Amino acid sequence: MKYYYSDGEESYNSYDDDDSENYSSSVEDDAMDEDESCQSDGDDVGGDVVSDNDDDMPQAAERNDKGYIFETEADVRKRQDEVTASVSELLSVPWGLAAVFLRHCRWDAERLENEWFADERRVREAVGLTAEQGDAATSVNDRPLTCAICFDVHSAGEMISAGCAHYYCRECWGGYIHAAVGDGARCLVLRCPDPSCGAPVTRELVREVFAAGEDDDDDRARYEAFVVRSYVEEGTSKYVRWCPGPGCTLAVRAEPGSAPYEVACCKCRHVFCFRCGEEAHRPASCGTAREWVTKNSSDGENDNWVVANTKHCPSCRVAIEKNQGCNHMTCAAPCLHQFCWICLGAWSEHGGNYYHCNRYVAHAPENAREEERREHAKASLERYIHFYERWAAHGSSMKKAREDLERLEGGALAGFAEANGVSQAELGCLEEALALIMESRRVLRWTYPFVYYMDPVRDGKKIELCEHIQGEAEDSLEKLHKCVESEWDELKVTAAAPGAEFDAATAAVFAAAFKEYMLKLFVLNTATRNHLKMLVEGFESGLPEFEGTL
Amino acid sequence: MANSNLPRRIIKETQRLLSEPAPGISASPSEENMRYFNVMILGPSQSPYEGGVFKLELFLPEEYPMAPPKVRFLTKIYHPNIDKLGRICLDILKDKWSPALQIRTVLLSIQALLSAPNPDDPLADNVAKHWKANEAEAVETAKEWTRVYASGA
Repeated sequence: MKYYYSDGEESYNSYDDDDSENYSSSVEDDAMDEDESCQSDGDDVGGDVVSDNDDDMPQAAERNDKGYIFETEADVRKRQDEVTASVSELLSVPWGLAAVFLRHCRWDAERLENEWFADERRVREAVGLTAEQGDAATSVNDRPLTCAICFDVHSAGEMISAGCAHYYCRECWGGYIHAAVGDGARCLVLRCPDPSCGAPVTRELVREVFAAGEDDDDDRARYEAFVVRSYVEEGTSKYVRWCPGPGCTLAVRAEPGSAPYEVACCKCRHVFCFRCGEEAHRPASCGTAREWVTKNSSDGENDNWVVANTKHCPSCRVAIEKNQGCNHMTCAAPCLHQFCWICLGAWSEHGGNYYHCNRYVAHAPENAREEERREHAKASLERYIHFYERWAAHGSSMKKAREDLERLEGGALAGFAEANGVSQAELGCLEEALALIMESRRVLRWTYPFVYYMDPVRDGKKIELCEHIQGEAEDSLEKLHKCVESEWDELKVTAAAPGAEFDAATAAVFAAAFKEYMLKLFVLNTATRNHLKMLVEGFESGLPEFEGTL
Repeated sequence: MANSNLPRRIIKETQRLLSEPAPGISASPSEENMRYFNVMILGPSQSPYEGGVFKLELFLPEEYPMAPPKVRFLTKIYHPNIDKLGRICLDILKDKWSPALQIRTVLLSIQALLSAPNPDDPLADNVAKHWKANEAEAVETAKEWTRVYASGA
């Protein structure tokens, strides 16, 4: 398995012709580092109950030199526990309280220290403590006490308080915390049950209450999950973020001072912007991306889905949902009409190098004023749909490419290599192509919002230039994607089925076809990479939108 | 029976409610269901509800005391924090509930709410608007409603 990194701090200059190894080389080193650095198991300090899946990759930290590292939830917990422990020692308070103070200061230890030594009382009061108050306390009084929740009398050892004078029995504490955990993050700001008392319920107290029973495992785990989420989400979010990839549990820590524009998750491959958490949106700025995403979501999910996912064949009108990434469509038999998914024009008109359907052509305005206004509204909607469709189409093609890549890596490639007597290294070009397709689609996708928010009148020239490079890049990309999808399928027809024997003649035919295919793929890879480089450079240079964001 | 394993706390609270009732408040459990209480609150003096007898129902859910009791006015009342279904906007019945509170404290809080309507945190929008626009008139309406719906019991 390979991991692909790219990074926002680095310019796209690395996409040189002879640089095809650039994508994966540094990454394989990282994968090795990972094996060597499995020293921490992350649940020693706090004795946490939540265990991570063993196959979560970065045990300690997946380092790279791009200004960010990946961490598992256990790593994050460990850091959280470390900062809590050091603050606890420095302020001479129990660690449960240290965590409460830290949360109050958004997990910024330095801020807490400053505030604390400036005015300790104010910090204490801010979290609901009034006097010198300790942490979870078991009653020292040996007289039996009546619990003010269940009204039962309990022996002294069964009665616990949040460091204040209000003692409740262990069972009622359990119910109290259980109810809060069930409500969600409220459990982090839980106070002593006595309405007049603000004493915070600390992690330490929760741990003590849940110490006994296995029945409490769920509550304990949920509580601990909120604790770690607080650290990442409420806290130093300038530096730590969860990978927003669906189902991904890794966190990314940016090194101080760096806010990477593009972060590629080493586990789920999701590529996102560290600054805003959106999908990576280079060359568009965070603001543009946010505005665009908001605009899309306000236009009705269903409409978006229909617009983004189905179209009618321009020849036979059958409804089509696209299930491959390439925009060269061939309608189902018997129609077999070939057309461009984007502009629905006949594919034959796209022949040669002339690719033009990225360009928005406004309709000439009508004269009548009423008519003009209506046309204007329609045109602005049409304009939006134009950009939205292309943005969405790149997105779904990107997803398809990703699925293809995962399938290849999941054994399809190895199977093909074995059946046809070629080495897997020879097929590396194919993986590279898919990775490049994903990246190009992602970048191209975000060039659409970028252009959408330009002023068609004021920036006319600039838009023309953008659309030109965009078109070149898309043309090249479409060829590559087609080569990886349908032409690869054609090649597979000439190849041996798994387990079947090759006769010499067939083998020769296949070998020739294979060689030709690989050469073509190599050429297309190079061309697409160059176009991508030009695209990014073009959009990022001389376009004022970008100044100051990199 | 549903009442056979009633928590000790509920039994104790009930006993105390019956033996030492809070002034102006009576609460007695239903015979069929010991978690269901018939409540009567007297309109506090010097409030628009003075002289009225307000019926409420109070139910202790399974999670009680970890979850708050459910309380609702049965008598119609003109009050910015009580809607026409009798639902009450009171923090301790929602997010400020604590298991250290009791039926008694809840009912005392409701009684206090009658003395001090809070139109800034309204449940019945139109009543609250009325209250803010013309308090004297709203108070008159509240008195009128008390006479019509809450007298006689």
